[in-house]
Amino acid sequence: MADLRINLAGIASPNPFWLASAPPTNTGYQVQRAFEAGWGGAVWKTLGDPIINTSSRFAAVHFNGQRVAGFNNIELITDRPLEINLKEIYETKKRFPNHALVVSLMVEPKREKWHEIVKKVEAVGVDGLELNFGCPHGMAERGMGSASGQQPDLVEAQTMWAKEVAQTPVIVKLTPNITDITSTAKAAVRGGADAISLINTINSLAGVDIDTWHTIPHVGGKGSHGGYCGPAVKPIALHMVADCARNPAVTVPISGIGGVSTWRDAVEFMLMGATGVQVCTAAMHHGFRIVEDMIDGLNNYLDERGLASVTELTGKSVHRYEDWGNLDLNYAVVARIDTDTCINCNKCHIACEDTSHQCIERVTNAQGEAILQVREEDCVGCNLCAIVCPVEGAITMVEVQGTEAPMTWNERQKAVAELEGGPGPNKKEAV
Amino acid sequence: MSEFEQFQAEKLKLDGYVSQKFRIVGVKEDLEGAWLDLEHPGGETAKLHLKTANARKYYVNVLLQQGRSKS
Ligand SMILES: Cc1cc2nc3c(=O)[nH]c(=O)nc-3n(C[C@H](O)[C@H](O)[C@H](O)COP(=O)(O)O)c2cc1C
Ligand code: SF4
Ligand code: SF4
Repeated sequence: MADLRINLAGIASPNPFWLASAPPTNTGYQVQRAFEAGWGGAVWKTLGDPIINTSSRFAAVHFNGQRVAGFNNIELITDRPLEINLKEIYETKKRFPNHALVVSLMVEPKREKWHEIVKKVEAVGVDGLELNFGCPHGMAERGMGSASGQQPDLVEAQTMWAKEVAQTPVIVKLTPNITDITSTAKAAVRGGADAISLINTINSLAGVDIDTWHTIPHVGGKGSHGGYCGPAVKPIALHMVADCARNPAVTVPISGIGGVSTWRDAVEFMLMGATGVQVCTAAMHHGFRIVEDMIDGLNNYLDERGLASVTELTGKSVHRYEDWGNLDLNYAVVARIDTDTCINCNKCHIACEDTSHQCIERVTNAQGEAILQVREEDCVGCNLCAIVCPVEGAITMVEVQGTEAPMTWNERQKAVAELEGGPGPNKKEAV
Repeated sequence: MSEFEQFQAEKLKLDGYVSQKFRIVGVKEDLEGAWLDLEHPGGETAKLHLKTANARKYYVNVLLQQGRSKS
């Protein structure tokens, strides 16, 4: 059994699976049941001036039989008075002293507001604070959440205000609704953040009902943009985590959030730089007990690889995530079809013929049977045929042993620029 | 002519020059591809227009090779 314990900027947790600040962490009853089920930590539903929610507030995108491929909400922060939340936080921490109990906060971007709430929350005994600069709806219209999380100077200032009085580690939760997430990640670091967490939800409209013409969801006939999360957002979240992890100015640990549903997702986030993960949609879809499979799966994975501690995963793939200009242009793969397992559905041929490079042909083999074959010299190795093939393993992408030394776009441009600056007739700046 | 055959044709031309000891001495890249200036140690010059992506990749492989053999 591997050691699953993590320590995120001083916040210790028996395993890397935390519940994200959201409906699953709304009350002491829920968080305590989650800890009993096996969750290593929880970030309490965001505290602030209690809000009033709309009644219809969630929607999901089901895709081809997969329920909740994506999840959309227009819920705001807690609607319960601070005092009740604090009492339940205190009781929860007392019952579960070894679990990570972090409390999410959101107040107006005013120094005294941050001081007040940080002091009150820390007084009941918490392991850390998470500043919610991410909620994309409702709160943003009041100048909070993603409205302040999209402005690096406001992220920096508010982090600083929280840090001025905080005794426990401060995690800054970032909004993905921004062009370059490292700009706000760096601002958080400048403000003194002990860690960052990402992502919060992505601006979204789940759909329009084509019969009633209402938005989905609608509140008495009207809708508003919400926040998107769940499996569909994982690639976006993973990219943002990786971008922060590989940025030398982002010097703090990362809590990865966004579409984590299985232990495999958690491993991916950790390999890309996260110390641990937070989960919301998967818990809302399947309940707290999914954590059992997550723990078992992670344990087995680490054991199979002979890793003694889950912390050994953190960041191991970050150096493999590069700018496009540093990828080897001389690396090549081609598609190869295994005619034994191919069911002749023709999907690969259509895909390549209509939307790629027209290099899958129907030929007749020695037995006189019609088979599909890739004309490898014209195959650009785009992977499309393997992606659309319904039979696992019927198409493999095979590496072509090239004769050329690796050459990246940046290296190419440097060589061309040097030549252009040389004796040739045409001088041109490299782009 | 398939993309591959076009590349092969362009590569053949460039390889031909290189085998005769021509060196790439200048290049202009624009919307039409790459325009190479080649020069023979004896002073003879030649021009080559490379259109395919693979040829535009290949000539820089040659160029880098050329740089390595120079030093
Ligand atoms: C209904 C709902 C309410 C949420 N409320 C909050 C919140 O109060 N504070 C917060 O920081 N994030 C909130 N989130 C965002 C989640 O904590 C999390 O960042 C996001 O859902 C991505 O994770 P997931 O893909 O695992 O759901 C909420 C998400 C949902 C679905
Ligand atoms: S990898 Fe792309 S180009 Fe090659 S055969 Fe498949 S679809 Fe065609
Ligand atoms: S998509 Fe897969 S199964 Fe279908 S014809 Fe192509 S290789 Fe065969």
